[in-house]
Amino acid sequence: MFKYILGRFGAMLLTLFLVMTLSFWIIRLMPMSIFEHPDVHPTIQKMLEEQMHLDKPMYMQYYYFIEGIITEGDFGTSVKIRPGMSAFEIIESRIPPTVLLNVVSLLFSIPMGIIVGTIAALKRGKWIDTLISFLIVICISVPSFVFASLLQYTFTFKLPLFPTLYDSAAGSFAAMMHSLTLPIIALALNPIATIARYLRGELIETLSSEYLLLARTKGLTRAQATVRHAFRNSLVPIANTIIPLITGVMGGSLVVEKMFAVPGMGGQLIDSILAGDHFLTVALLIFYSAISLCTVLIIDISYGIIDPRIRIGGRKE
Amino acid sequence: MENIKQETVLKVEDLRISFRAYGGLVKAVRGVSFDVKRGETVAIVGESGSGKSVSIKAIMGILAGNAIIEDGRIEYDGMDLTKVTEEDFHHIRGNRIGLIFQDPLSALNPIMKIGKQITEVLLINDKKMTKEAAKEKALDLMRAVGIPQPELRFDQYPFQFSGGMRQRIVIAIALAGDPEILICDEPTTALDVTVQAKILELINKIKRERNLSVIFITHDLGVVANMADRVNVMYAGKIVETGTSEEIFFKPAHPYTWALLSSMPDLQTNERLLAIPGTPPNMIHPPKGDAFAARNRYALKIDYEQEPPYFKLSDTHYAATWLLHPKAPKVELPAVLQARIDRMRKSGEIDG
Repeated sequence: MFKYILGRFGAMLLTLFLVMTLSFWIIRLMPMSIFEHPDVHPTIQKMLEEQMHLDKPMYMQYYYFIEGIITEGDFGTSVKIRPGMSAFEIIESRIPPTVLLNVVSLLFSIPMGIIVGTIAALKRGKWIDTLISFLIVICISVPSFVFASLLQYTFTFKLPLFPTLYDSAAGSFAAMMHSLTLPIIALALNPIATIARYLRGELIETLSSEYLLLARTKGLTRAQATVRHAFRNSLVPIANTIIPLITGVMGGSLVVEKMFAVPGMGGQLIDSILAGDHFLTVALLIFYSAISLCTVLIIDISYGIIDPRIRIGGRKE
Repeated sequence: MENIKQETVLKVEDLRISFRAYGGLVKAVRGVSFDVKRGETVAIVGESGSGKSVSIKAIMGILAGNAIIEDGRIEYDGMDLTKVTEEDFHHIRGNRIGLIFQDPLSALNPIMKIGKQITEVLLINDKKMTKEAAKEKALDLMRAVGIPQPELRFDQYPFQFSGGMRQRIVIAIALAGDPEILICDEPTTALDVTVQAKILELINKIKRERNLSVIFITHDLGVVANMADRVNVMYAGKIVETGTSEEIFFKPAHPYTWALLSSMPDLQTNERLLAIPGTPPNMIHPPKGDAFAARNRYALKIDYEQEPPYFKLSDTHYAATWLLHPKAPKVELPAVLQARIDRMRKSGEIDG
């Protein structure tokens, strides 16, 4: 098990390095100098570029970039959004709302999806299954920002139950969560539907498997057999679908954060791209991939816990 | 089989099962009757789709949702198993009747430890049993079915077992509830030939030790010869011939049994084996008359018009074919088969 985790961790570091390299080159190779602006005098522009190594060839810039990260943990400095502030500090101040929003959406959607999917599978072919399947199709095909607008319109304008925008000055955690409710729901609908759809299919397959029949010949009731033998087995493939869900939720939160004015990383990333603040953009991209890689690592490890074939399979007997 | 007590433990009477399907009702079992006595092995032989697995699923109460038991009784211990509700049936399954599956590769839960899959039976059927006692009993069972190093194997998963070992575990699970009837649904079909013999030997040994009644489902007559006391040959949802092993192998009377026996190779066969032409009939619209008529070289005109009744050949031997009617023309056994029976008699291959 330890070896498995170590291997996963190594692969994760390698991936992160590749992401760093790719985002650096893609962003930095965009045309136009960062400091090119009618108001900036050419000599000042030149001076600034020299200071930030922008006059050097690209591979040298890449070297400085990597050196800064490894030796000082320096991910670059913002030059336009918050001039002079280190990218790391900016990210630090923006982490809490983003992580809160993403993690809560996911933590909320996993049990919800499992419940909905289980109901659909057990009531297969009944009206409730048809209804759930219909809702699943809608929730998977409609993007989260559409739900966000619909929720905003319904629950803040027509039926004012929740604040329209995120309340960053909220005094209590409860008040903050209250203002985050709508964005969380908007983000969670898609993962709920995805998990429910997969679980329904898996559970239906497991319920008709030979070993479930064997479980029933042991003298287990239908309910006991379902809980002990079908449920856990169906969760194994679900763990795999959660990985793309995480990236999906994070991508959705970029826009949803902006819509609800959540002062998180998503809004910052869009702003920095529009402003051409390349240093900040690269740093934010790295941070985003780091989060998703961490969740992937967690999923991979839990996968090994759920499924012994993965845990022991690598070992030679 | 000297000391068979003539006590009947299970009696199936005129069982009729259909499945709801898109094209209509599939009549999978059309009036099957047989009984099982204590300590004996009864084989049910037939090709795929003849209704043998469906019959035993009805005995276990694990028929699929679209199955309907239309008629008949399954008498067991004063109960009619066709009438027992799902709430009560789980006390019978495992505890009283054990089932060995066809494919041990898919019959075990892939992500549950072997030990737990065995102790589960013990704990569910005996509420007072402690986990430690269950483990001890499970280890004994694993030893009994010939699993080496049971202590080590106890904590392993199915994918760490070979096919034969998995089938031994499935047998251990079936035995854990200490049943009096063991149903084997083609237990060796998915296994290598070399492993097959060992598993059959194991089933025979267990049967003797525990005085079990065994219902043995197979399409392989070669296996039947080594296992069964009595044989029921099934075709298209009906038992076409029933008799003791000797009667079925040495004095087969039904053309379908002839065909089955002729298509089975043995070491001395030099002739071409006879395949049975055609396929089993569509059971949504079973043919009028004898269902085997269309594939039967010896079919008479009446075979297409009227279902044959059972003709008695001896107290234990019955066959449903018009060929046994006094007015039917005399038909000799196929030459290949006659030659083989003579050989078998001579070499005493089957010594009961």
